[in-house]
Amino acid sequence: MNPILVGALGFIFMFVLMLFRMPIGLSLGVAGLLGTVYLRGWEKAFNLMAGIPYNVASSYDMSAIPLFVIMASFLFYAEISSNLYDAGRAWLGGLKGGLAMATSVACGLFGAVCGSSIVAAITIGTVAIPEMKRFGYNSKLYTGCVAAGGTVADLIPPSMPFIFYALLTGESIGKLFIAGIIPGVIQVILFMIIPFAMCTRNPSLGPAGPRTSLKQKVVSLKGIWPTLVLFIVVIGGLYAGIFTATESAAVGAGGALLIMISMKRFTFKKFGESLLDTGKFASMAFLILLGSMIFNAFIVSTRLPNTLALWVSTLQLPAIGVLIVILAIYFILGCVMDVMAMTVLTIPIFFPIITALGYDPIWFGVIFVVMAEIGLITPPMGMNVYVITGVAKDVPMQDVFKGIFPYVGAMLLLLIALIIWPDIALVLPNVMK
Amino acid sequence: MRWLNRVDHFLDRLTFHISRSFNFVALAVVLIMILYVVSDVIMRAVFHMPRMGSIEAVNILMTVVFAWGVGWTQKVKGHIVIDLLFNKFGPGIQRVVNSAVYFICFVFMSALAWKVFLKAMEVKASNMATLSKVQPFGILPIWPFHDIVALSLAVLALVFLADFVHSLVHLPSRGGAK
Repeated sequence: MNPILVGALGFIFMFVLMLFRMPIGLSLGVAGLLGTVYLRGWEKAFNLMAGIPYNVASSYDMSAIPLFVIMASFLFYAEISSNLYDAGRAWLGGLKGGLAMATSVACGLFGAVCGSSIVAAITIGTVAIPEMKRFGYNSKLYTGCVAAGGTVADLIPPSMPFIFYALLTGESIGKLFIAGIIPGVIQVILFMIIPFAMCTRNPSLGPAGPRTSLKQKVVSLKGIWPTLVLFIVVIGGLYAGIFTATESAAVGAGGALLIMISMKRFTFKKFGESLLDTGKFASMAFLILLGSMIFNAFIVSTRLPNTLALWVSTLQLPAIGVLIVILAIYFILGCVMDVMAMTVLTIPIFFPIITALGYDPIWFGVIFVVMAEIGLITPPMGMNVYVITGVAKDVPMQDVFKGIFPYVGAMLLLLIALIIWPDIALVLPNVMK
Repeated sequence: MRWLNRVDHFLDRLTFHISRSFNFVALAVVLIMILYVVSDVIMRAVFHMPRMGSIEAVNILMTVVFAWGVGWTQKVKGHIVIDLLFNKFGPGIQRVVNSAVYFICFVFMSALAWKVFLKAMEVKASNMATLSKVQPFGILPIWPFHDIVALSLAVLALVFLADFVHSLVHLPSRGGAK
């Protein structure tokens, strides 16, 4: 059988295993192994596979994953979210839709020290939703703004999707992190404009809250300095070339623990929970990356990615046309697939195509993460929407999905801006040390 | 089928204790890694005394952090799965599918663990070691860390075996699931 056909069948088989609820890492591994056995025989396939688990487990770049997770976990249990939200509320709460705007700011700030959009959505949602309900905000608006706001954590560093992208493509984690900063800030601004515009048109959606004095505004900033200092140390150190990604994650984890202790929110129970969450995420990531490496070894041996890249380059389609097709595929996959699964499945195929077309790999990393963010809030598999319905139990899921529509529009706008002006993402990494 | 119930109970308890112990070790190593990397940064940035072999030390520690929690994560069903189609099946079909999936996972993981053990022996025979001295231990052989990974995969295989047996115990009778 033609190796390319074997590769395509391998993909189908892997999807079938996933649909039968096999863990994603195992689906990739089993399909990859059987495909390699078919192409090279048992002996060679197993010999090839034997070195992969150690190589994945002992990867230096991967060590950033558990360290960034534990940093976010410490900050989650330190309950800094209430401080961040209070600051946002003090500055913006007096405006129409101000609490929703404050939520976006708090999500951006929390995202600056947490690499997971789901954690950001839960953490900020737990604080922001009851407050917005109290002030009579429309349920679609308040659930939508939290579910969408959480996604900013994937774009503003540290970010798990960027780490996965870097591991699969060999790109620099540091450069990807830095490339996400300006688009992340623009996303926060767009997410602030949405509730402001909606509530200016129809004030009943989000009435203005009580105004605060300048003194109250300044005092509120006291609660956000630990987050800002940690972000500056972790990302600033990375930008200045003082730390590697792993080192910045370890320093961040140590700093987060100190914040937890200094805020008198440390308990051994919380400490244990943080460790357990970290262990679970690290193991989950290990199994997925292990499976994806086995599957990638198979896919590379079928020469499917190279053939596809070659085929695309011979098409009469302009580069932007190919990019739009890839983005459309991401939009569809994002609706039905988890971010990690989408990353390990598509990057090995699309990355050679993108580089063959002459696109910048760091820029594409940012584009990819924006698409992954959209996938987190679009039905039927919008993970952020699921977690927000857990926080706002009285709001039907379809209302949350309706509430995120304007935010998806804003993200598409950001995507278009990134395509027209790639420098939005590339200006900072290009001047990085 | 009383014997199968006993096997199920035994495997459940065995995998619970083994995977939880492995997980505890992994979590302790996460803390050691934070301390090690932070102290390394301080030594280098503040005292201008870079530590030899710090990258290799992190690589070695990572084998425990990443691999030793996989069994426990499966025990608490923490690995990512896609429920989209599966949830549409009736309970009987779900259990049959689960049994088949767990069995395939068990076979795959056992084979992988075995091959990694063999690889560790190969690495031992070739005397492969870290490229630089890992302070304070010096040059370290690599093979024990291959074994560490193999052991974790073996524990994961055992957890899948326990899940498989558990799903067999709860398989629907010929008349269908109740």
